Amino acid sequence: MAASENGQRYVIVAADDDEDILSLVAFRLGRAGHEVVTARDGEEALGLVQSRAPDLVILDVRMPKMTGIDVVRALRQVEATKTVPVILLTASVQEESVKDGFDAGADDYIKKPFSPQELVTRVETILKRGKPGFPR
Amino acid sequence: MSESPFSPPQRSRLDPALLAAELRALRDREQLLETAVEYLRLLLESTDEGIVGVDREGRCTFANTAAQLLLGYDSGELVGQPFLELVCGSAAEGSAAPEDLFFRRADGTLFAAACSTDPIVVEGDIQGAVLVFSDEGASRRAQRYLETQRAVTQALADSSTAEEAIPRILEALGETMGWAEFGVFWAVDDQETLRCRSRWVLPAAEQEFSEFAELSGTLVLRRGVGLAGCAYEVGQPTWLTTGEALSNRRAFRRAETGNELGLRCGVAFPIVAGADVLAVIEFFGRELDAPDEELLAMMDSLGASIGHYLERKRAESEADRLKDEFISLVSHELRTPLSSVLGYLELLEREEVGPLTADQRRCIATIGRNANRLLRLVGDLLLTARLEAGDVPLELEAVSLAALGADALENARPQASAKRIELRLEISGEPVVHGDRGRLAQVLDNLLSNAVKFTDEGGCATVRVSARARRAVIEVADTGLGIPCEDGEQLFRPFFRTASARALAIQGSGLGLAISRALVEAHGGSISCKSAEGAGATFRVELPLAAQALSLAAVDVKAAEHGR
Repeated sequence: MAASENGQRYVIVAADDDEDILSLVAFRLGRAGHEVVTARDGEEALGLVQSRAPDLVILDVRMPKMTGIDVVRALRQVEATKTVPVILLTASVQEESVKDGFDAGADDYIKKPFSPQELVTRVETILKRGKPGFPR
Repeated sequence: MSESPFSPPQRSRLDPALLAAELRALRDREQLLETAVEYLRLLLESTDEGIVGVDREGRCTFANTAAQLLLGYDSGELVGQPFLELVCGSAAEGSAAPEDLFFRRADGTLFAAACSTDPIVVEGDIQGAVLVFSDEGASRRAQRYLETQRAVTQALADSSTAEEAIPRILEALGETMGWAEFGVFWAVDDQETLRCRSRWVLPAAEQEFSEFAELSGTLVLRRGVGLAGCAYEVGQPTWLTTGEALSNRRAFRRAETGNELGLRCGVAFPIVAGADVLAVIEFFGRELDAPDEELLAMMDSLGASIGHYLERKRAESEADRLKDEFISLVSHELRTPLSSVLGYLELLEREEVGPLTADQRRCIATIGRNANRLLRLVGDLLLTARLEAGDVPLELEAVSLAALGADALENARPQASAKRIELRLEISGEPVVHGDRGRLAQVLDNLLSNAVKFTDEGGCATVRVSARARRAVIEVADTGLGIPCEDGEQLFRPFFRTASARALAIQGSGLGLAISRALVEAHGGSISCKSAEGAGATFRVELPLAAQALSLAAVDVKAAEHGR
């Protein structure tokens, strides 16, 4: 597959219980040259982050087993995943869930519905800021 | 003196006609006397006050029914009794003021009486006395129960939730009943058991009752068990008197502690809604011997009114919960599929999955337009629900209305040019308000998009922003259909649509103006409409100028500086 727009191929874990949204994210980021590993619930996402050590994580807020916010919280408690960038996807209009997300340690959030193009831009902006492990 | 029926006949006994006339007169007088006696009896029986006659030795010669009832005697039992032995001075030592007179009932108990006496004087001789008395305690109790009911009503009125109301009800009851020292609110749960939901202790008795209160807090009472359980089972006020009864009651687990405290009385009454018992309120005290009729009647009526209140609150919170659930459902379940539709449309539109023909492109544009319309509708529905719930926080900053107007014109331009409608922006002064930029933009977009929608091809829509003495003013005027006068007030109601909007099939949900008004009002402003059918419409929004907010802030800064 082609290298990404800035020449680098990143590993991204994306999790959403909505199969269509998940495919959309995977397809568009894949086209941008990244390797996307998908999960359908929070627990699976957490396991994948631990086993794959991705460059970035995209989490839907409302998922079975563990919410996206629960997953961020869990990631931030472990040394190995303390600094991995996380973007939350939220369909909720309630401002509290956005605040909860940032409080838990998310780096950015994207409101549904989102433009796939916009998602790629946001992902690459965060990745360009610094490699994983960069002091936060 | 007139002739008495008992005086000896003066005339001849032998005249039969005279004899017959005398007999007739005698019968007439007898009847007159009977009527008078009956009338007097009615007078004496129709009062609630006890009336007793005594002779010179103090023996009772007469007692009306009220006196017998107040003193607890059967009919006729009082007559002949040495009545003054039933009257004693104050139970409290040393005080014998008339208002502190006590009467002894047949069962030996005392009650405080309000009493007046007058001698019966016949031809200068005191023949005896008449006593008129009432149970003063009863009228004081009635007064107190009235206060109790008022206090409970007030507690209900002051509480917006059942959680707030319950401790207040207990406190209001406990403090106004005048004898209670400890109370429990028992809630009925699904398993037909009672659990303590709230407790009240008379502040002066807090230390003494701590163990009893703690014990009550941990108990789970089954139906029929304990005082509260009995009230639950029978569905009526229930009481216990004397420490002995407290300990004899079936499985009254607090008997020992209760006896140590010297509890003499407990009352429990159910809180009912229809045929259901929702809760039981229970009180204990060390003073009262037996609850009177008025107390039980009061508890009956309080049980019903508190039950009614709790039932209503339960229904309200259920409605709130359903509304929250609905908002969350709309938010998530409608937006998620729309996210897919719009996301995949973008992939097609950008030809990320292959090149498009012109026809395909037109189809995709139509799908996109309608998906976006649906998305806006979902957003408007959600915003309406949240505005009604007062759940829309504003992010306040200085907002220039001129810039806001220019943005609104840009947003409306595509629809306007399709109908060749001219858009104008007129600015006078420097209107700056302290508001939420996004929300104010939404108001202006709503008004301008309405203006374009309701204006015919070739018309004109104007946005005027200006700063007046203390208000910033936004006007959105069009040359369109106008709005009939009778629709003026309705316009800002959710889902209202004018007849012409429906007839001409102009798209819209009827939410835009309702949302606009709520948002403007949240900013401390007002919105109104001037129009005549066929002559266009002008919507006017007035908002407080930011200068006022700024000068207030300046005062604060100065005050802070002075304070240093």
